[in-house]
Amino acid sequence: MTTYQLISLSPLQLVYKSLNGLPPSLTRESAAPQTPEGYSYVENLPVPEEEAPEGQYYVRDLTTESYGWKLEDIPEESIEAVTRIQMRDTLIEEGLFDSVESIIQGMPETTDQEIIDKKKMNDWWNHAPNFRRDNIRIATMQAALGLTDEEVDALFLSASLVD
Amino acid sequence: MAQNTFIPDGSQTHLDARNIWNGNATDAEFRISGLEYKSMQNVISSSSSDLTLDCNDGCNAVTTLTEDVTGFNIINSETGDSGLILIEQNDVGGWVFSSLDTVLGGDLADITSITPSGLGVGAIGWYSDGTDQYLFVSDVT
Repeated sequence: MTTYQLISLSPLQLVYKSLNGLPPSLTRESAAPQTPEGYSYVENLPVPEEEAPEGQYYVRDLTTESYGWKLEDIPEESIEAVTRIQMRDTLIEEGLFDSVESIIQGMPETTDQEIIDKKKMNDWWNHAPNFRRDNIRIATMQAALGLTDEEVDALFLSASLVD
Repeated sequence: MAQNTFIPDGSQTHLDARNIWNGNATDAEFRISGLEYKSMQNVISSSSSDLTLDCNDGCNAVTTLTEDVTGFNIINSETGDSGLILIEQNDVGGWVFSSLDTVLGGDLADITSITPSGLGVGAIGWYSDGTDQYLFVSDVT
């Protein structure tokens, strides 16, 4: 038995509704039915039995020949924001919490602007409901802690998993 | 033709009465036979993916699909004619029934799901308004 999927050729995409009585998908022993111009039935292939290599996964691949599968790299998950509690928990786990506190406490207060900057940083650290990855203070703290972009991404990813 | 009434006014003969009587019988026979064929069950088969229902052989039909039907035609139908086609699938099954006619109810795509080997059945009702044919598709088993 073969499962066929009805597709339109331009644009190349699946057809989800029946077309003049042609079902969007059908399974049978015979060859695929004829279709009106601009449409076609292609074989709907099962997921490959071979396990995807490390760091890759199977995604659907529609061509004019088949509705199959192809390998793609698993995209690295990018976390845009986490809650304050999530981030602080993670920093405690990673042993960075005290360093952050020390960095803030060590900020200079020699000018009025420095006093304001330190107060703002302290307020943000203690009261911001969320920490956004693209916040300038994250970049400032990253530089102060000597972390790479990847390490900060990993911190956000870990934090996002905190209940 | 029409049925005639015999009203004797004293000048008609028995022959006149018989002619009117027989004329009415002939007229009735013609009309009834014109209706009889419409309700007969026609047995039809597709050829080269075309399935034709000839209403001269009956506006209702049974058919067993042995190939994909991509052309469905009703011939010799008149305005106001209607009928029903009972459909089964052969042992292979999975054959499609495609038509450009307007489907007002149901989905022709369901025909492919009829259980093969004559174990399941579906029906397509049709109506002709003289210009177009309208289809109604039943649930299938």
